[in-house]
Amino acid sequence: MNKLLREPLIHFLLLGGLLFALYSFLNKDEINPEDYTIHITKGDVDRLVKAYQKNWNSLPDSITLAAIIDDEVKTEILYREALRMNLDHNDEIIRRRLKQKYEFLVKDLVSLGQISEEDLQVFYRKHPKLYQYPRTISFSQIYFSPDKRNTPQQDAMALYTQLQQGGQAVSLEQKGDDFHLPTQFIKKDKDQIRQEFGKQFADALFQLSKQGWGTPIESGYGYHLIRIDTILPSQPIAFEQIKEKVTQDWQQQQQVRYNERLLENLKSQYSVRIEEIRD
Amino acid sequence: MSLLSRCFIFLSIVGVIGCADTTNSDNPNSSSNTTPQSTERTIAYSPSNNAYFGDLHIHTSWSFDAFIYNTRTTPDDAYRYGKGEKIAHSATDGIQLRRPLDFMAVTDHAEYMGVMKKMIEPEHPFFKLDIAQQIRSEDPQVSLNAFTNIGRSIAGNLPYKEINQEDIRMSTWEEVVKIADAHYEPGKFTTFPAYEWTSSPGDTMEIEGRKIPMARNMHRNVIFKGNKVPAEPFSSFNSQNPERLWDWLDMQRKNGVEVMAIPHNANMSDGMMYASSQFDGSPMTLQYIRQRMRNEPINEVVQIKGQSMSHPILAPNDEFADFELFAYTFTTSSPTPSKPQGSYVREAYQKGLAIEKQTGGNPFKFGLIGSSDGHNSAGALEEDNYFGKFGVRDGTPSQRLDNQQTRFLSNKYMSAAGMAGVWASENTREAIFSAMERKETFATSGPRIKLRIFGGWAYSKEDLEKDNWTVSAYDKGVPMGGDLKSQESGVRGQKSPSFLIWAIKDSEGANLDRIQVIKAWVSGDGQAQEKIFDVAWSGDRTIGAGGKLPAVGNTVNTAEATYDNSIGAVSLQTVWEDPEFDATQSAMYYLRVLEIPTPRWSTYDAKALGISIPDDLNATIQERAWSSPIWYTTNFE
Repeated sequence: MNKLLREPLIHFLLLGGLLFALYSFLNKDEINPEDYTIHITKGDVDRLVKAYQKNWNSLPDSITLAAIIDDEVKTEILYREALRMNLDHNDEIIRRRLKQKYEFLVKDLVSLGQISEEDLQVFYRKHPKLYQYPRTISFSQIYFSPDKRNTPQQDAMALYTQLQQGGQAVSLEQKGDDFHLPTQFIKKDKDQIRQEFGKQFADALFQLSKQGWGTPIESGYGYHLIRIDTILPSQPIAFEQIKEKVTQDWQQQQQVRYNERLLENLKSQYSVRIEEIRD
Repeated sequence: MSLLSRCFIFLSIVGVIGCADTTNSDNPNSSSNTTPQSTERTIAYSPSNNAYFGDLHIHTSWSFDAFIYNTRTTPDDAYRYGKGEKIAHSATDGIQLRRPLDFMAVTDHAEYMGVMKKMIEPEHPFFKLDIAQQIRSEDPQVSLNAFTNIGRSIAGNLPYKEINQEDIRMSTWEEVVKIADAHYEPGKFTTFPAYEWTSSPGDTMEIEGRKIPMARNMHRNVIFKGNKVPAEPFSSFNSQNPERLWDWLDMQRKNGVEVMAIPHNANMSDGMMYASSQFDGSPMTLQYIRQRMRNEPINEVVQIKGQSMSHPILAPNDEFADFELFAYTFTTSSPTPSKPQGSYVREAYQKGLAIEKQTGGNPFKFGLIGSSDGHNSAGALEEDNYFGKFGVRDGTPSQRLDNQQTRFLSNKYMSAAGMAGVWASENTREAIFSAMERKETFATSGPRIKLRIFGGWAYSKEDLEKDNWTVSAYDKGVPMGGDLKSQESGVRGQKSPSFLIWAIKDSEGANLDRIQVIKAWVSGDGQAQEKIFDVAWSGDRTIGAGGKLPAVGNTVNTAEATYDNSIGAVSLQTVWEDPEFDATQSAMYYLRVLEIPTPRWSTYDAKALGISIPDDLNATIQERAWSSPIWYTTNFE
């Protein structure tokens, strides 16, 4: 008990209590009966039941429910008393929590704003790089395996020369080696080709700009004689198709701008003085 | 500010609260509306599946132990690293992967998640705590002790109450999910919200008369399929018993949350991970077995703290079993050995078949993945692009090869990271998670080796020769992770199933040495057995007396830390039948594919330092990949 009496927190609480009592006495006429009414609505009960259900995966029975409601009442009483004693002041956790709540609010404020089709269209046109399909190549290949040949590069080159001179149709299956990766690729971008065949091959393939057979390309797997079927340059994605992403990006941009403006606005109403920091 | 404008701001805020509340209650899914949903198939969709490579085990500064070694990067940085961007590293001028990953999950420790960074924010209440002052201490011994105490509070399950706070836990977890969603690009880069459940039951071990505190590794990563997640993780502070974790996961599933747990580092569990009994030592019940398999379809078996596939003591006849061993438990003083029995997958696979014979259920019928367990918001996946596990502790070659290091986790014994492989129809959360559920996964020690095995009763030699062989492979059999259906009626007897087997090297890596089939079975007297078959190899080697295939050779120049691909094969394949098949014995088969020898990361480090390779380290390693098994189960008639 003696130890308890020396506890600064106890002193603090006692003094606070006294101050509060004094304050109450002096401001008697200002007490609003509303401040001392706690009304647990049907909606409140529903909310408590839902929270319980989420935690425990079952509905509370009547005894548990009574206890939950009792706890809610206690929480509300202590919360209000704490507010009256200004215990929310100078508390770092509460300060940060309120800052966070304010930021969430501002965020919702923006996402709830009306979005006009025109704004989105303008944003879409202004940022073409965000809304395009990458350059793709469709090609067929004949593979020359170092597992099966001593001179895969020369063999590939020989076939290339033959194709250039004769130009007759070549049956792909008969000319190359088994590979068990696809022989035909349709509309692949550079990243996809890299993941499949490695960097060396992807870099060389995306250097090619002409349709038809090209000189053999090396990969970690061996040599590949490539016939480019089509090259599609990077293409804009139609607005209607990408509208959802445009909307998200636009909203995000609006939010950033709004936050900046809001903070500027708020800042202008404060005078901020920072004492010089000495090294 | 005028009174009027104050009122206006106040009113508009009140208005928004009202609006926000109604939108939330009217539409419970509103929070997920902004994340990409892959309802349409992406361009690379293939019904016979593509190989995707990823890392499902990454720690950032939000993990207590990464933070202590000065990692300051975040889950956002981690996903950027996975996508190929350069990110900061505490001991070097930045780290970057040569090739981006296809999928990834950041798995920060649930215990004290996000707490440490608060300890260095001067305005945060945690800043003033004793433990925070110790953590920040200039004296490395003091900060290391503080770290040890935090680690012990997890092992001893006695959380520091002042930092284990609900509001931090929940808001950090919310961020984790949000960041994973933000980086998800269906068809290109898949992310999963995830965390690590760090159960490390503590104990003491007596070494030379001294009692040394240690902890057994029972860790699991918990991976969520999407952003439908509970409000906060179930941590080892809730329970260190995996069965309680599974209860919680079952409950999540009832609520429509799709989730799985992936155990790792069984090699550090001192026999606990694959013990023959339940957590409390009681015999396994069928209910336990089913719950385990429901929640843990795959295991992570190779990562920076070694591999958990096999140990030479358990597999004395396997010449390749001695690979990247790290057989210790967690301790901060002298290294404490982790006993091999019950700590390695291949033994567990055998034991699982034996348990099934007794109980009707196999508790170890899981598939395989690898991952990194990097604590730099990044995995050091490439031997020649290595930056260690732990920030400033092992970020530079001299720190890693320091021979004086005798403490726990001596860095030179650590491995470069493993990799998770999946066969999935496309690169989306749905397709990859589904591949993991059906165990169509594989593990590699780092390289992007692709390997396939299909088992069936109706395959012929020609089935592997067609270009689109995988289509009929799926039609006529099952892929890795699957169960061989029993033989058609009438085809009874001893006919072996056939296996279509294929592997191709990493397109930016070393050639392949061989493919092996590893078989486990239970003989008539209930004894578990194993045998390794070489089934396909490079060059014109022949199996000699004693059934041994000669070594592939070695092109490594250890002084220069180089190798070349003048030996080995780009691709290997075969149709294989089990010459010892016995239809009355349950069995399982998985692949091990070996690369030709290449320099170990430490060999690159030694070259960089201009020193000779420490005697206790291998100069070269044979990197490898393991498939998930195919099981054949008799009905025990």
